[in-house]
Amino acid sequence: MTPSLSDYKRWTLQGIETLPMSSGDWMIDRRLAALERFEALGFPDRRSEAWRYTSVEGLLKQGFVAPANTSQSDQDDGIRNHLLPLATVGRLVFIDGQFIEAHSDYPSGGVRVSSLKAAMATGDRKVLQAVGSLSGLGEDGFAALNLAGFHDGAVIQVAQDVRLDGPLEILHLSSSRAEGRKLPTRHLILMERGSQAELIERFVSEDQMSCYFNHQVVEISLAEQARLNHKRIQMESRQAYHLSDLHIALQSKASYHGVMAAIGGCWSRTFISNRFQQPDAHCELDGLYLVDDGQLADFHLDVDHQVASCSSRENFKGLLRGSGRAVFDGLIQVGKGAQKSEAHLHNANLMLSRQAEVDTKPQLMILADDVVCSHGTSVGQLDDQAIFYLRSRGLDEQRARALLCQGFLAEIVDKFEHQALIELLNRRMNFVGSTE
Amino acid sequence: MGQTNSEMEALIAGEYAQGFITQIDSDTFPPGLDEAVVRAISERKGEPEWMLQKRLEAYRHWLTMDQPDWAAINHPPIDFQQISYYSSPKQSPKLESLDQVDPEILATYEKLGISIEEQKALAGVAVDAVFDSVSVATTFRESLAEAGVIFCAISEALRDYPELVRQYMASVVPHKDNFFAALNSAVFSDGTFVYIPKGVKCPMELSTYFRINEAKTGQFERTLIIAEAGSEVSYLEGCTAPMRDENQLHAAVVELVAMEDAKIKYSTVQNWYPGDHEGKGGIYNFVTKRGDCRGDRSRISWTQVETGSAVTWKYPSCILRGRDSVGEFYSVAVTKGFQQADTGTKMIHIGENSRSTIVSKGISAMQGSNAYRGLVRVAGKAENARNHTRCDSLLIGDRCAAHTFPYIEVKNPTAKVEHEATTSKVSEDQLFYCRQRGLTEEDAVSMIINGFCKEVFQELPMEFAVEAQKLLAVSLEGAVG
Repeated sequence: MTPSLSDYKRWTLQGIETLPMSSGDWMIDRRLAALERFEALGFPDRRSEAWRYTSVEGLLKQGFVAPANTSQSDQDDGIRNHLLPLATVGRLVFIDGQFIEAHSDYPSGGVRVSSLKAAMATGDRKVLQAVGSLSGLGEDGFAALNLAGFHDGAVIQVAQDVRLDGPLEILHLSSSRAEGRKLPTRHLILMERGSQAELIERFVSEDQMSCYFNHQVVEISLAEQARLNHKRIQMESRQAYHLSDLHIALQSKASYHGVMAAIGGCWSRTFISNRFQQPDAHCELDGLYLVDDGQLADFHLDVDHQVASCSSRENFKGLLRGSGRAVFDGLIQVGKGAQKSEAHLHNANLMLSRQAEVDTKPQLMILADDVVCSHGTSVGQLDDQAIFYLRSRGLDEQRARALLCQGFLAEIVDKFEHQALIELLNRRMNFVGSTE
Repeated sequence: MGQTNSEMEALIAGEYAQGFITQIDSDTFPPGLDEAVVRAISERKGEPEWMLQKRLEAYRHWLTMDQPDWAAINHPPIDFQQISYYSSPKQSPKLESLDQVDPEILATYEKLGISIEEQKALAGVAVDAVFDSVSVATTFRESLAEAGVIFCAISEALRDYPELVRQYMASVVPHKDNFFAALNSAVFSDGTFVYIPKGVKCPMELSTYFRINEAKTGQFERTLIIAEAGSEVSYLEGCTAPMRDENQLHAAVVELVAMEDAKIKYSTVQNWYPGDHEGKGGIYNFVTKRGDCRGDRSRISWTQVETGSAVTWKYPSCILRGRDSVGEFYSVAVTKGFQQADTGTKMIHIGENSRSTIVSKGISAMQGSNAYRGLVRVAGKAENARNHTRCDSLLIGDRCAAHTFPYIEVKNPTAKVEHEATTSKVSEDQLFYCRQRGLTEEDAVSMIINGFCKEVFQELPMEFAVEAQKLLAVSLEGAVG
């Protein structure tokens, strides 16, 4: 039976009661305010424009009201199976939404890494006050519920002018204990002036058939001239639900480059809000999604140019197989007075099967005149001539198709840069194994 | 300036301060809408009982609906009880000479190159015997009758060809379609009916212009065009001259039906009163236009040049049911001052090999706001459907707005759908090049804008295209530079 809003409320209140008092009354007040907002908003439905093509009915029917049990901790959970040969400078491991210190290691010089739970325990006001500073109480019921009920997350602060030598990794592992639970986490990434870092986030699950709801809100703040390269690979179990909200704020001359891959989960949605707060900042978003039978992948971008002289570029590509469904919504807004803005968005979809469906909606809302903005989107198939060409070179039909699919996505896959990630993606996307 | 504006507003609002009008209200319903009004409209027009029932059904449904709020437009709420829903056409005020016409309107006619006689007709001046539109219309009708084409007012059609109207009316735009379509279905005042029999190529372009004095269609216009198998027709609506109208709300419905191999080309030039320089007044234009390509290889093409109205809300659409059917949408929408336009199209691909093309050019100047909103849907059975969409927006001035909201829904893997959109201002490089060749800035901008719209203008019938170009220049006067 689908739980009611009050079921969600009850569980969330229970969670709030168990919070350490050191996190401060105001933190609890903020959670309660978010809960109120959740009650007022409820869960979105398809009448709401942002959810027009993405039904949440299936997700709600699963009844993910209870958060994962966080009392059990540092079991191994086969974490070793998921490690990649990456020359990381640090790794944070989250199992079922909880930070596991025993599996984590991170550098000390110039980077402060901790968990939100630790910040709540010590009452670290500076950190806690940043929670929700970019996301607000939540644009929809899910986001509000996350703020009200999150119990852990990562806090990464890179100090002024510090440049990390290698990537930091956050590994999200869902164990079999997550079955039927929701995993509400939040990350805070604070890049101080002139700092540079690379962050890799991966979402994996122990059991490829486990069903849970991973909901994550990430707030990323880049001070002047800070640069962040952010790579995210969502490879949840094929039965899992995944929702990510990314809020990125850029100050003068800051630069953010995000590369996203969504290939797991039965239902996944990634919402990326990019706000330019000062001029001369730059944002790049690249992404790929691949859906097979019974999968839905949804990307929502909101790139907001409210100040002058910022530039952004977005490129998302999707491959649809079986009865897969994909939704893409890319909004570029240019506010009054945001002159000299430049924004280009591109979305391409390759539809390989009869049962697949894609709904794509790029949008431009422009309120300034001295701008160069464009968007382009396409839906198409593999080119018969290209297949013929490859076959004439001795490849069989299946190989030829696989090569073309791989080639179609290569431009995005390459942005993951690290050989280990590229290989992981290509292996997981299994172009050759696909019969279509 | 200010005075002529208020004069113009007064004209539009129906308060003719000059006092040359007699007994304006004698056959106009008092404001308000209820079942009795709907019955009274139907009775006035001597409609058959089934039409009345249809109107009532639409009215009852309309009561259950809410005014849509999703479009990128802002206007004060419309009080539907403050509107008069029927005004007898015979009272359109007659002026005695052009001297009584607002000089600003005359100046615009002049720039558009409209002949004196036409000017009189457009401004509502009694037309002399030499240029009697009725006689023109009569000769016109004779040649149409020879071809078997029916071209008349919809109220006439309801009288003379009730079965034909009954068969097709509301078959493309049912009254439940949307709020304004429901309102129109309940209270439509009049409109045009066109029937092209099998295999007939309409001998001339049909234009509402020829019906201008014959029937003032009022604010709730209803148009129905049926093209039987193998027939062809080109229909022109509106005219480039600024239209004077006392009604603020316009909610028209246009339905097109194209059978096998039939071709319908529907061109619109809309230049209604856009409101004054402060954004007051102006027409609200909420139109539902839809074409149904029922037969195989049928073709419907919409071309529109929208420069008028304070608020425009219209999405001429094509339902591509037939195999190999073709839908086209070419649009130029200009907004300046405080004008707002939310316009675009829907291409619903159902038939195999159906193809559609969308070219939309939006120009926003001053505080104008322009939105393209379009849907391309490829249904599961629409094998090899093809769509190409191109939307460009040109921005002039730093307070204007341009939005693009395309929706693309594809359920068939053989579909090829492409959408591209750009938004930018007039390129400095292009301007520099033109100025270097000795053009003034204004001429250069006007040339660039005409080039920007060329793809759409070339779809218009010849005379229309020339007028549209001039209209564009007039519309953007003062907005450039």
